[in-house]
Amino acid sequence: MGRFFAIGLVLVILCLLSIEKFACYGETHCLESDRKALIDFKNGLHDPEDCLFSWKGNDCCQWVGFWNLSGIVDCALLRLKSLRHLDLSLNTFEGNPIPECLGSLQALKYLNLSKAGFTGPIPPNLGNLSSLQYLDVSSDFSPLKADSLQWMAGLSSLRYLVMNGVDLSMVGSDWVPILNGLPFLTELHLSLCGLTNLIPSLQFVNFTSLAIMDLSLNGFNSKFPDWIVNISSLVSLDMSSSSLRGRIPIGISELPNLQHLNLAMNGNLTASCRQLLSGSWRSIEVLDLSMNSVHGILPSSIGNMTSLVDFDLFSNNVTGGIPSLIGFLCKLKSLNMESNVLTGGLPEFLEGTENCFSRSPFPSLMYLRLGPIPASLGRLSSLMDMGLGGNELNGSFPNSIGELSELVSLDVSFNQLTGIVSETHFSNLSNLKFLFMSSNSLILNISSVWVPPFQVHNLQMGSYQLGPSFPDWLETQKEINFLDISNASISGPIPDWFWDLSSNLSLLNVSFNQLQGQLPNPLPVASFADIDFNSNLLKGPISLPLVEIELLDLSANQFSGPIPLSIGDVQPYSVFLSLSGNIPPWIGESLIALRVLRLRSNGFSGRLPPQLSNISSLQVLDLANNKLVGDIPASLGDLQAMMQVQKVNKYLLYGKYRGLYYEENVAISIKGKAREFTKTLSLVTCIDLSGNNFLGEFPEAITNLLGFVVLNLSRNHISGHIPEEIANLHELESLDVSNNQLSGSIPYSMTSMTSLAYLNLSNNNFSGIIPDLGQMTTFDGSSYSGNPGLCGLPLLTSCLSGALDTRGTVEDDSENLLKDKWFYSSVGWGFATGILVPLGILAIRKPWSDAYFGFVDNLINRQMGVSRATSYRNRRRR
Amino acid sequence: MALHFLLSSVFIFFAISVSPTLSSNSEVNALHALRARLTDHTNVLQSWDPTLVNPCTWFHVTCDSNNRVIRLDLGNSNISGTLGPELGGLQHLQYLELYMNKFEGKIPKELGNLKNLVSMDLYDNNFEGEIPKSFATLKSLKFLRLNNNRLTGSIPRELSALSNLKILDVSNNDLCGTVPIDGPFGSFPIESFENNSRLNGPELQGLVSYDFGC
Repeated sequence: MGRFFAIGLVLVILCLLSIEKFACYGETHCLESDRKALIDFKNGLHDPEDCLFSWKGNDCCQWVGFWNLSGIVDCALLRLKSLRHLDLSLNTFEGNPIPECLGSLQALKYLNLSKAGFTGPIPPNLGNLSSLQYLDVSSDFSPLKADSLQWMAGLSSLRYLVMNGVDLSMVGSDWVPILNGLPFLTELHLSLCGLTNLIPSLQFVNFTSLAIMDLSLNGFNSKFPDWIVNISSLVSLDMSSSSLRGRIPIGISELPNLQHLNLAMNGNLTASCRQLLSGSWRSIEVLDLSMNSVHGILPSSIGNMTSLVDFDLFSNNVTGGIPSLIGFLCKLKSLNMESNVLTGGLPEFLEGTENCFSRSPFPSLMYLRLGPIPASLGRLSSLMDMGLGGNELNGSFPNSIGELSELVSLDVSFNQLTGIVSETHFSNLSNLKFLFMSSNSLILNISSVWVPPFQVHNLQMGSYQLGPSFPDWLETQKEINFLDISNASISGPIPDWFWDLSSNLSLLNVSFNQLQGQLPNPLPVASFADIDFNSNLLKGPISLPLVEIELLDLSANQFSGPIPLSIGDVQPYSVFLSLSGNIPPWIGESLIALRVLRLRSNGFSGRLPPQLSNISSLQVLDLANNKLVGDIPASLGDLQAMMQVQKVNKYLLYGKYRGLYYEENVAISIKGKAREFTKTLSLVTCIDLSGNNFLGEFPEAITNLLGFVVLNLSRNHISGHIPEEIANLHELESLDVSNNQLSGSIPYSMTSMTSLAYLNLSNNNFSGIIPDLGQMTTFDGSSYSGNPGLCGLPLLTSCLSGALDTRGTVEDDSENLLKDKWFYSSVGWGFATGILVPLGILAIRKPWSDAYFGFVDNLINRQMGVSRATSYRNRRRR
Repeated sequence: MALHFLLSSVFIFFAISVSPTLSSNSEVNALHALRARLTDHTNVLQSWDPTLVNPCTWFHVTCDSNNRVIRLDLGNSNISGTLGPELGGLQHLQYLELYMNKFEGKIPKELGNLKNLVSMDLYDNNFEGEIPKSFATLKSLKFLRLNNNRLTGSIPRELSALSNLKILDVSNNDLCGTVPIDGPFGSFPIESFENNSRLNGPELQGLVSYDFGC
């Protein structure tokens, strides 16, 4: 023995990003038993992209361990007795539990199962891993849980524990004493665990090494625990958003190593500001007490907290003024005192600034929020970034801002500022690159020959009165990349010089004005631009850029003519609102990662392009209630994503990294009703072509689509018969071909369609006997009504023996007619607009995804009336 | 304010990630309890997400327009496990299609609460124990197929009260006693009862006791 075999299995999303070889210590070739164990492990996994391609040959020390895998972790790993390092993070073992056998890998020192899609309880026998130093089981949306942490008592070597997102809501109050018994614990991350019990006192604090403790986003609903101030090794403490109340113990300011303290968003934590900030705070760099009930005045001793970089007292009850000694805080980068009851702005004189390296006040300050805009701001001559956006600032925009000659970024957008902005407000702003003034009630009043002292990159003056004519001074802004002058009361034609500027624009938003005339063809914009001409008075043919773009909104204008064919070459991810016309073939050629194509309830006409079948990721094709004609192309049978049964659910959540969450939500007409699919959308496969003018035979090829859950061809003019192969669609739950001209008999094979829960064959010309076996006995007469040639149960017309295909008469069942009314009610809920949802693309193409999120956020904002602040966040681009 | 929004997004995140039992829907609970008893060998129940407000977008579950569960279609789904009393909570269920799986254990008598049930297909499983007498209260029942299981005991005479029953199949079990002759039993073919070695033919009222041979 004595050979050590440790594995660095680095799991990354994409095959080609990272490479790490197995580390074999002391041996040039690996043990045969180890090699076999790894092969068995590999065989238990799904590896469609052959990421484990290097796992062959005899020398497993040369194998490269990285992949994007799913499947069941095989206990073959157990045979790797000396495995010390196992990293299965960032995988897609959806739905599978953490294998219990991991608890037998006694030599393990490092175990990373984070974000690997495991679900269910964490096996308590992981507590056998007495050598384990690093354990990460954090999970995002796959619900791992533990009902008790007793088993952790056995992890006596543990230094690093991450369980963020694990459901610990059933864990009792003993989790603190258990973790207190782990002498080497250095980092503890239990954020968002649903913890409810936090014991107020601990007799003997044994956390001698604990440096980082993150208990944020829990629901303790208890007083701030006193024992925490006895953990003298603490460097970082995050207890934000944890429903803590009561006094913040003064002792916390005496923790000698504490650099980072976040107690934000507890609401009911109280402290006397004067007492609390009079403590030592020897190492404090980040102090976030926002959204609590800190009261009283800021003491002069704040000048002693010279390490402070980020100080946030947003939304408390702090009174009085800002002491002049704040000038000692040379390192301060961010100061937020907004939403308090401060009187006065910044002090007239700042003390201690001579100690700062540049001898100027607040040499590092980049971010300042104080509530009202103090006129004294003009004296902060070093200020480079003034971020006052998204507040409730009212009053006028002070002239003195124009003196901040170092200012690079000025953001006062989304406030309630009023009055006139003139040249003097910008007089010395020669370094300005970012100017955000959107959404106030400001009026720009400048001479027609104004030449701004700045060359901005990003200009956002939406909902700002710039008009009535197109602002001429923009012509001087040769460096501009982002331009938003939407809803700015501009009318008349767009001047020709604008199209010279526009070729650099990544954002061109002139929507909601009264712009007239035609667009140049081609449209000069930068690659991946977002272009929004929505709601103007533009005319003529639709023009398109020659470069690939993210978003194109030409809706609500007076454009005429067809969608140009060249659009397929441009390959845009574009969103068309309220456009009608043919569904262009390029959809199938250029949007190959599209997962959901929903153009329901529009005016689309023409034939369905056969190229649609190129969209290999397409799971939902909903073109219902349009004016489509012609045959249903047989190529639909080649839609790859629908050929596979979707058995692994993947939450389709966006915006995770921007602090915004948007859950995908698509309404699908299933089983006669509109149902909104959210978290399980990735399991749905659906074709809905109902309510069009399709002709021709039943598209037999679609019986290849073995993953089908919903098929709706109703209300067309489809003829022919349903093939026996329909029964191949084992997953099909909802089949509606009603109101067509289908004929022939009902396939006997349908008796084996065990998932079928909704069947509507009504109002066709089917004939013969209704199969009376298996699943086919579970439908009532309404499924078959309006087919004069059908007989047998559940219809009341019995079949004449020996004459299965002769036409009998069916008694009219008035109840059945009512059942068809759902069609008409389902028309109403469809959006009037078509929405392309390129989920697949979004995961890969970042610029596209930003555009799409922006678009979706905009939609949400418009529709849901989400607070101003949200749109403020989204629109802010740098 | 931005922070307000952040806070609310945190709560949303919280709600969807750590509170998997937010729903108070008793039908979700009944189905979730069923789910907990089952082993889903082929991920047929992947869509049964208990955090959704109702089970109407779960696959193999069908609701009416009031979002009440009316169908459960799990035929031939490679599922093993048992049924529990909680299934009796699906008050509006019309179709219970659990045929051709590997269910085992007793058929819960609480299924007799399913007053709207039209069809109960439990055939081709490994159910054992007796046919619950409580089935006599399923007045809407048209199809009752319990064939190809390991059911024992006698056919409850009470089932002759099921006047709507069109199809009954209890063949290929280990039933005993005699076959009722009243009510719908008058029209069931002999095949519905075959391959129950201890079943002794039609009931001879007054001559042979009902559970003769059990």
